[in-house]
Amino acid sequence: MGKGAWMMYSADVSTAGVIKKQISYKWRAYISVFTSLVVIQLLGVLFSLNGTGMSSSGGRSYNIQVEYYNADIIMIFTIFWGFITALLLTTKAYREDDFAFVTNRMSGTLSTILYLWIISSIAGFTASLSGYLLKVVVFLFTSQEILNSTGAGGAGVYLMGLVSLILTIFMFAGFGYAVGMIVQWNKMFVILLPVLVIGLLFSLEKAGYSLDQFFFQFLFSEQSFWLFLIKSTAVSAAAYLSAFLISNRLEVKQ
Amino acid sequence: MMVLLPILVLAFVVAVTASASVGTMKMRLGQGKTGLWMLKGYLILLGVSMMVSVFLPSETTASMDEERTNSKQPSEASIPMLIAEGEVDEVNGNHLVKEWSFELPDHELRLESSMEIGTGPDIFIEKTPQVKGKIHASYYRSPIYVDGLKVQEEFKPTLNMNQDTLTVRVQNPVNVDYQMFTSEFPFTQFSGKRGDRGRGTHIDWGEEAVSAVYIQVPAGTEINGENGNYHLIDPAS
Repeated sequence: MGKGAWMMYSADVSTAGVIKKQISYKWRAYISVFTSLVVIQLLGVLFSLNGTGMSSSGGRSYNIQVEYYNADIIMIFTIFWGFITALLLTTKAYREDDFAFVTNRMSGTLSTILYLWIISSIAGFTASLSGYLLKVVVFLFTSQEILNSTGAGGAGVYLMGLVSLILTIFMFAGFGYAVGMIVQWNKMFVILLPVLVIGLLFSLEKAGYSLDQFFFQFLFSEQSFWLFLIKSTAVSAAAYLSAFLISNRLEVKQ
Repeated sequence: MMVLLPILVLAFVVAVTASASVGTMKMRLGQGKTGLWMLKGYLILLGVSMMVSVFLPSETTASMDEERTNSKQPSEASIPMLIAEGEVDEVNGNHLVKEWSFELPDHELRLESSMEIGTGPDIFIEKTPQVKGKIHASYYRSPIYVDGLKVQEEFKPTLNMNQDTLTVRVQNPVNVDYQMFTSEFPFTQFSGKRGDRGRGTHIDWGEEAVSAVYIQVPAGTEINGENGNYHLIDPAS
């Protein structure tokens, strides 16, 4: 092995080591993100007790009322939790944690992305199981027979659902991270960004291009798991790359 | 833009909750084990809920295809028609909801029905030598499906016998509530079952009027009923 190759190898190990240490540090330092995760998911269970819909059908002598429940709200809350948590990690106090180690912007950003992936996975896993908690709580409150819809079932469907949920949380965490970086770059964006986003959505909607059509349908109407995987990974990559580029400018500015 | 309003409200609720908790995480550095303990406790709670939910009284509804098969069977002859023609054996066995048997010491039966006209089942009485000293009643109904699940058990009249008086009572209307658990959006996205979400209209009543109470009484029983509240089966006709 040549000296150059050895040095490259050595440098790679140290970068990987630093990233690993940073992730480990972030895991311990930001452990209370799980407090907010648990609180938000329990809040989601509470909101879900109202049901997601109701259907009533009656004849001359019979009335059937069906209350629909699922953990959609809990999952949506969790996705927003990913967004907010990532956004908060971009605040100056947290960004400077990276400098506790001999590091560069690249390893700092990579460790944050990997950390967000880990917590997104945990959040996705707990959210995917929260439906069971909801079922038990609904039964405790109503004591009525439960009908389970066979809308989707099987280990394969669960796995695909779990992966897509984790990817969605991670993607929204990416948005939060990018938005946070933009705001850190220039505080004016605290006001400008919501105005720009809402204004843009409003203009697009008026022009006949709705958010639903361009974003939600693009991702969440995709019935092929692999295409969804590619699309969500691409959108996440764009969000994290933007955040990384802005963080570089942030460094230059400082 | 109204579409965005619930999203903004939701974002606000989650943002306040998350930032209230995450915002203090720096202060807890080094001593903040609360988050980890909460996560562990929550995972245990979810695991226990998962196990408990298996033992909850529940029914699993059929898939939409199955439901369609169930509800769109080739048209069968109507239950009242078959009974009226004395062909009770021809009625689909799945349509039998409940059976009753009462003592009838004398050869006289008084029939009272407590239901609004046109809302309850038709009542058919057959005099037969097959039963002696008692009456036998059966309630038939075409199935009601809630998302493919047969639920007609809930919809049956009450029959009471007091000395020689049989009362057929129908609670009007019968109200039944169900809690239906559906799959969450990530789990329906790739299963091709997305169309099943919000399937509130899939209550299949069958044909509502297709229900009947069939009563067998001993041959030679004198029946006193209110005007038109029952049909006497005369196989000879």
